[in-house]
Amino acid sequence: MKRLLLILLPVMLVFPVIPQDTGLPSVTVTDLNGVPVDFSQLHNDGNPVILSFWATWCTPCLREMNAIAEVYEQWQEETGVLFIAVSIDDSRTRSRVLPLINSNYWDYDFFLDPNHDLKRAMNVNLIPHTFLLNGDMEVVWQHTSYSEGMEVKMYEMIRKLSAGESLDED
Amino acid sequence: MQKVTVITVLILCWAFNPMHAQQPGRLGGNMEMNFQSYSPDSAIGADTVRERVAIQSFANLIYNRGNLEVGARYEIYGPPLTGIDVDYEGHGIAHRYLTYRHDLIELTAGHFYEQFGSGLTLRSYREWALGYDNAIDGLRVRIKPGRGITLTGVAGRHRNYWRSSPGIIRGVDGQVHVNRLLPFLEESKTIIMVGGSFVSRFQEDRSLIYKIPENVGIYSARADVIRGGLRFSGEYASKINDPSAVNGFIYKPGEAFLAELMYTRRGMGITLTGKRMDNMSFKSDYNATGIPLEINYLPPLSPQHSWELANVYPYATQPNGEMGLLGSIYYMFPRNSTLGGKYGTRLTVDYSRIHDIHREAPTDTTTVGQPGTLGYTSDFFKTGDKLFFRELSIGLEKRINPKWKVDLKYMNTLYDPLIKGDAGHDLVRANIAIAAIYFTFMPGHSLKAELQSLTTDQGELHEKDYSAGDWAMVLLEYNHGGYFLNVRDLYNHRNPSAGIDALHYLSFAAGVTRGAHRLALSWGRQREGISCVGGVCRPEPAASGFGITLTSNF
Amino acid sequence: MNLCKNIIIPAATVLLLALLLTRCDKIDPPYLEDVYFEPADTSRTVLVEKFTGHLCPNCPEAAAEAHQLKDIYGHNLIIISVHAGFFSRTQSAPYDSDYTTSAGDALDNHFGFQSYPIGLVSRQKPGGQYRMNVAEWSYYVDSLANDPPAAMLDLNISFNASTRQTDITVNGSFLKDLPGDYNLAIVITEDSIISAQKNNNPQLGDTPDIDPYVHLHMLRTAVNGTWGEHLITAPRKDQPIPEKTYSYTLKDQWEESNCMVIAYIYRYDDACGTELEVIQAAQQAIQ
Repeated sequence: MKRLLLILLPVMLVFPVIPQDTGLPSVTVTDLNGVPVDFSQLHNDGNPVILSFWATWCTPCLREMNAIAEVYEQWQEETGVLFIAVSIDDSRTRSRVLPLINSNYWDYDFFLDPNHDLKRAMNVNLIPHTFLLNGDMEVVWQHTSYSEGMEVKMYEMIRKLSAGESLDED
Repeated sequence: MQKVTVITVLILCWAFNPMHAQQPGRLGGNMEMNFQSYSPDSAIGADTVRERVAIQSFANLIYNRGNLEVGARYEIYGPPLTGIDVDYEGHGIAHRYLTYRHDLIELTAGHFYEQFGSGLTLRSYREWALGYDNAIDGLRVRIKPGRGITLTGVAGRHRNYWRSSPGIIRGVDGQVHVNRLLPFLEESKTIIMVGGSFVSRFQEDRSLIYKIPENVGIYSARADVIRGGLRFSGEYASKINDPSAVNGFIYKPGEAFLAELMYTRRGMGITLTGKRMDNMSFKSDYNATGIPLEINYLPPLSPQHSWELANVYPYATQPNGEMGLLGSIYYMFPRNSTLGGKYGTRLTVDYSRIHDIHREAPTDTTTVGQPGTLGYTSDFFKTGDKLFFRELSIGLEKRINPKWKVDLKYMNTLYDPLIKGDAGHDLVRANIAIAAIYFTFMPGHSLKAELQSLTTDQGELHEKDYSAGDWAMVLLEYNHGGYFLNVRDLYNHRNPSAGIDALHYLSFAAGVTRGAHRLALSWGRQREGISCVGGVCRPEPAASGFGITLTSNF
Repeated sequence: MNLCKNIIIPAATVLLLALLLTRCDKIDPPYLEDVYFEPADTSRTVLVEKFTGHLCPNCPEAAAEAHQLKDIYGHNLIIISVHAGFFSRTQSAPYDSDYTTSAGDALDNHFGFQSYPIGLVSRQKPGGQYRMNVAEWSYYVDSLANDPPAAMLDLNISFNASTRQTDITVNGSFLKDLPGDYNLAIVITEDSIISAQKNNNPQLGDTPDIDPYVHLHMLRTAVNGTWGEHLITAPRKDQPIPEKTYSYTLKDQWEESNCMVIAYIYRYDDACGTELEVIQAAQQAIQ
């Protein structure tokens, strides 16, 4: 029995032929005012979305969000892109989320995922983990970790998405 | 196990049945693989590891179609990395579940993770890096009988490595968003949420010495109130008599209180958090000690740091009793002000202070904490004499120009080694200073330099403590196009322990990230220490060798 | 939809409410059970192998539990304190004594213990694991001590004070038909070794160091190897135990009046080593 599984599992691990990512998982998160939100119901009127998992204790996450904050207004004007930031802070650091957002003057759409239900449903291992969604809320690109200048590459793709061009992944 | 395996295979076969081809659903997953080789290195206290190499890995698969979701996780440890419990050794399907969702109801059979309120009564979660997984294997029902109301019921046993916990966990939780429930409050400027939960554990009394309560209950009530920039959030929990190996078989009820007050507006925030925990460890096995099988979660009251030397003295909740306060200030010096400069300067100040609770003998004939008695009585508002932890930390973040950015941090920590399990030692006073400099010298090419220092006032120690004394660290990292390369020297330039000389812990790391796939290689020495994520800490033995970490999402 | 509204939701609500009403067990004093043990004519003797170390601050609690059990079960309980692993390393004084033994290290390695204190109770493995937390010992000690024994084991010692030679003779008989292979192991322990011990529990002494601390039941050597030697295959009821004799010369630094010889018979399947249950044990003072 176990042997069969051992054979089966690797087969399934190399099974990416099945079309994936049609929309977002139906997982409940809350907004900053505690209102429960079914994540699969989110949309941005057909415009692209950046979905990023972060936490208050994750320094590269904060650097990424600060870097995008510098250019976010311009990005929104040009492409209508929406930045959704999901905090995975648990009850230890939850109270740091809102003051951190405010003291950084961030204008993103924020959600809280304190017990990592959405993080698990989106198969996120490490943060920062950033997804790029097209207008149909399908994942078209994703990236883990952050280093300075990464946002430039991301914006090229957002522009292509917004113009209806296809993404050529490298 | 056999039955479980068969069912899993059947579900997976169903999921991949070609009949479903027109409507294939969504398949996704992720995996991580950790490999480490161990070379004996007596200078840093790294013992010989018999197997020489350790490898551990997991792969998660989630399949969604319509209202159904099935998932499974395969884990293999051959053997686990040092520091991760050896009881994990082996392989198999560690986690499998099926979830059905409808408008008003959600049903899960199999393993699941859940949290009630802030976790004081129940939280199950997983931290791979710590080898922590207390998934509940059983049944969960979540219903939304009306707008703004969520009810959750759970029943099952904890995962206990490759077995199940001896105790059965049953729990219910209700959360009400008052403004959404009552239409006339919909437009109110004050937002109110209330909730309550009840969790109980059943475990057979197998003690010969003590009368063990077989059903132990814990309940809590909580409220959140928001009005403009002002927020309050509080939870109170109480537990009936629960003699256990953790509390030394005393029969006193436990209680916990957690309250947060916050004021925040654009550019700033102030928070004040107070906490009191008294005999609140609650495990799914009254005989268990250490990390596993926690039913509830007692959040530690101190900021979580990500810098290496800020984690030499990490705080961990003392479940048998502690009380403390944490105050935090977040402020952005505005752009174009003297202190703000062109880009603004962000300031974070945290001050936390955690004491033992006050304890008095319950009668003249017993002592405080005597097994098989009530244990002690405690005045809710009185702090104990012992100071466990005090920390002041000040952080500054500043962008100087488009190419340069600087993070600065100063910390002053007072730490009782009891927190990591060494009772009866002097408090350690540590001063920590950290500077991180980010420099983008060409578009897409960046350098990071970290300079860290930790000094203590520790006098001579007669035992070997590899984390004692004064430390300095230099890290240089180069990033380009998804590649990184770093070199780090951690230098223990004064160690007051007899028999430990000044030591360098030199390590190199390199890696590449492509989309959601990441490969990292490391080589060098890791110091002996404690690693903590959230409220869980585990000792991390020293190691010397070569490591590979592969993570992927598909 | 109707199914959901009319049946599932009310049923789920009732289920949740039923859970809410789960009763709790409030215990009134006295909190301690009255424990007593009456040995039968031939009883099973339980072997507790307690893994400990002088640097292990939680180990005095395990020692206290072992003594409490010894008070109750007397001759029907034998304790071996195995000093091994991380917590038995030597350090500067007063932790400069090396109490480890090659047999202790081998056992520690075999069972893969990480966190101390931990123990084996007659090498039982309820739920598939050998390791037993201190608080679990009493349950298994009691149920085993009340089990009818599978063998009678006699241990005879003669000690020559001038040469320090100890002659050990083991005999007895089986009381049941048993499957599989059995080994006989002989070890020597020493009581009342005085040195320092780490301690976290102020109930039991000074913290962080109890100095002087009296170490009891310390494993000193395995006379016929860590795993002993093969004794018999599939013994029948009333079959005598093949008589075995051993000679061992006590080390000079061991105080003979504090030394004990312990013999135990345990299941030993060479093929997979999955069963190691100790079926009977005996103990005899050297003097």
